[in-house]
Amino acid sequence: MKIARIDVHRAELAYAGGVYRLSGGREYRSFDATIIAIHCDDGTVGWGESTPFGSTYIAAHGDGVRSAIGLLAPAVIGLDPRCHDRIQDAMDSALTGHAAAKAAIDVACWDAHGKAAELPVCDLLGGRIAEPVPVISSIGSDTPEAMRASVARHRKAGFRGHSVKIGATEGEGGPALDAERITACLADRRPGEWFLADANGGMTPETVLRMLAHLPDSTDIVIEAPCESWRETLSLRARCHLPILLDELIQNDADLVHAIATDACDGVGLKIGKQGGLTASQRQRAIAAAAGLVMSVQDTTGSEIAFAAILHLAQSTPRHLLRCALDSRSMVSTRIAAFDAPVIDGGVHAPASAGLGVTPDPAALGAPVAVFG
Amino acid sequence: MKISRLSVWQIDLPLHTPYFLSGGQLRFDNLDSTIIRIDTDEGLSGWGEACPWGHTYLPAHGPGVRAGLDVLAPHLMGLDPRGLDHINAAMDTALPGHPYVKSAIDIACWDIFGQAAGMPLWQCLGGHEATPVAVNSSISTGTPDEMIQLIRTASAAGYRTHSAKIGGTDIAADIARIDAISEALSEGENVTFDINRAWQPATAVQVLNSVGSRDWIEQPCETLDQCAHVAERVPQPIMLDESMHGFQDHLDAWRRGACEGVKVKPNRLGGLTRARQVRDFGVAVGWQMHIEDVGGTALADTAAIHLAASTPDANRLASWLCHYHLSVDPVPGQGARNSNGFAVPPSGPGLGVVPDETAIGTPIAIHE
Repeated sequence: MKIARIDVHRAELAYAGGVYRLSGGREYRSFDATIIAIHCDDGTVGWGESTPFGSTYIAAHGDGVRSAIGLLAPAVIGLDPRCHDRIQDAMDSALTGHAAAKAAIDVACWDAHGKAAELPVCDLLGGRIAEPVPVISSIGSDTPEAMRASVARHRKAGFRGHSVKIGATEGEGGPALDAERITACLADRRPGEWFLADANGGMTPETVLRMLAHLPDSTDIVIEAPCESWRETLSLRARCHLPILLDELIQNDADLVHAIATDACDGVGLKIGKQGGLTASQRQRAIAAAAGLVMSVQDTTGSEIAFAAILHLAQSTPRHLLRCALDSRSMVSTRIAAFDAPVIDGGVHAPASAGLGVTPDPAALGAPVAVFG
Repeated sequence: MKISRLSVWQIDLPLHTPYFLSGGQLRFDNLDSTIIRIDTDEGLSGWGEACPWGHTYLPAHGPGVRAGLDVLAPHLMGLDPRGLDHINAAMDTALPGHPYVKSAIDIACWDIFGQAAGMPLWQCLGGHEATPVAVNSSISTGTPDEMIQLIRTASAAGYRTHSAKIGGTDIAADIARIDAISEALSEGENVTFDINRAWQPATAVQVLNSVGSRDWIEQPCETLDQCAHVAERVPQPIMLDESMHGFQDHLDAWRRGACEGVKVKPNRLGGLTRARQVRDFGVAVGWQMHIEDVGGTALADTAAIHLAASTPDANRLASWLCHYHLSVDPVPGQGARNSNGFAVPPSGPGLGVVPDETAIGTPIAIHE
């Protein structure tokens, strides 16, 4: 079985909520998705996706993904897509770094592998664990009462994990407002619920410590990505009594090992595009599990294809270490593929069909923007 | 003064001879360079260059430079190119990361800043004179005899400092290379053994404790953690390069005692603004630095030599010049060039290098 041809498609995924706003005046109305299909000599087709969160969230952008795929695709044509580490080696030999671009090819190889083996990808990643995968809500920064109401709505829809966005500037209300937001979101907590306070690297140790001073002693929440740098994070870690989950700082194996060696965190956010695909994510999942770190499984954003990869990885992750998955479908309104995995009571199952189980719609994808091989 | 236009050229830079790194695991025949010109509403224009070393040396590649420039260009129009920190902040907001793209823009803005101020860049960057900067040879990996022959050739061209590329999985071969090269050096010659991250930590500890050399050892392993582990266990001074991306990496390296010096490369760090920040930190903590670019024509080399010339002698080691390895010269005769082992930065206003537009052809993109 060999990769014979790679088609690259571009799709514009509209943000489901109109305009998504991040700190610094960053606005997002749609996301530039790169969808690839690997065509194998036996007729098998594998699908993969890389969709950075615009060009201003982390160091990745749509045109950059496609220019990197221009270097990567020729390097993997003729290789067996089932030999994931060898595919990775070939990509690393062709281009250093650029994990987001490598992720699309890597995921497509897993899809092809699953189809060839007639197994769902979760069964190739260690095996399906029967219980549904809990999906996480995203509670955008707002007034404490509005955020409490948003948690209640998501709770009613079955969500048991909630990601509460914090990081108020002094002008907006600062650490005291963030503490009020957290307290409001936790006010109606039910047994079995799990809460994250996600700062997206936007706070300093000083602001987090002041926020903690405003929180009641019994507050049960995990602080995600509090600070931008390792120095700030380690400084905070030594003085923070709440668990810390790191995301943007953990991009590769070495970062994860560094986090473990410095005891920098209690959990890690695995984002398939950020880590460089399912091969790297699976390896990092094993390292994290060995160190007793909990994991949330996500991607920057994406269509049904990106969510399928998230779901198969999450479905095979031991539940005592899995802290929710992100359903990227809820972030975009554009539909480009059929994927039979409905969210029911906040939980979702990876389909049992072979591979990722996604069927892209040719009309939605249009003609390829590049063909290799 | 406002930026009104950004023009982009792509040029292939063939190397005279194939170049090997990391024990021969990486081969390079041609560099893919992007040259840019920024025009302003007041008529001043500045030139910059971004030339990654292939696509396997650092997380950077030529098509990626052009893709990134497309994203950045609209955010630059109307900004004052002399406000370098503001230009960098605007670029970081528009596109996080991607220092190898931003470097070309940053250098072109420095060129304009220097011209507007009527000063050469070595002066804008803090220097008091056009200090001649010792140049560094670059010795491709090979057998000890082949490498010594290359060193002799470089010596004849005036080079007194050599960067010998070694590193592989054969421990005995690396010990033999280091011992033979150390032995063969003439009085007054120095060598840095550059492993380009090819060793595992155990290999580094074995090799470096088996040789008599106390010369600089550069980037023995892939990560900062691994290099810090090695630095504690070997007698040689350590120089770091590829593992150093942002300022934070330099802070970490210093706090952990992972090195005694660093390479300062504008294209790896994001331009002269970021390189100057690292240089100033290095001076403050007593590092010794090789200040040079990742690759490119004499344009990119000259930008780095301006920074090197403005750096205190005690903190400055020799600088490598990429253009010496190329079989084309789109900036004929201009800029900082090797003259008997030293390169002197130009003393006219700005960068002091203007490409020959007949040599670089038609722009592949013009943003207005």
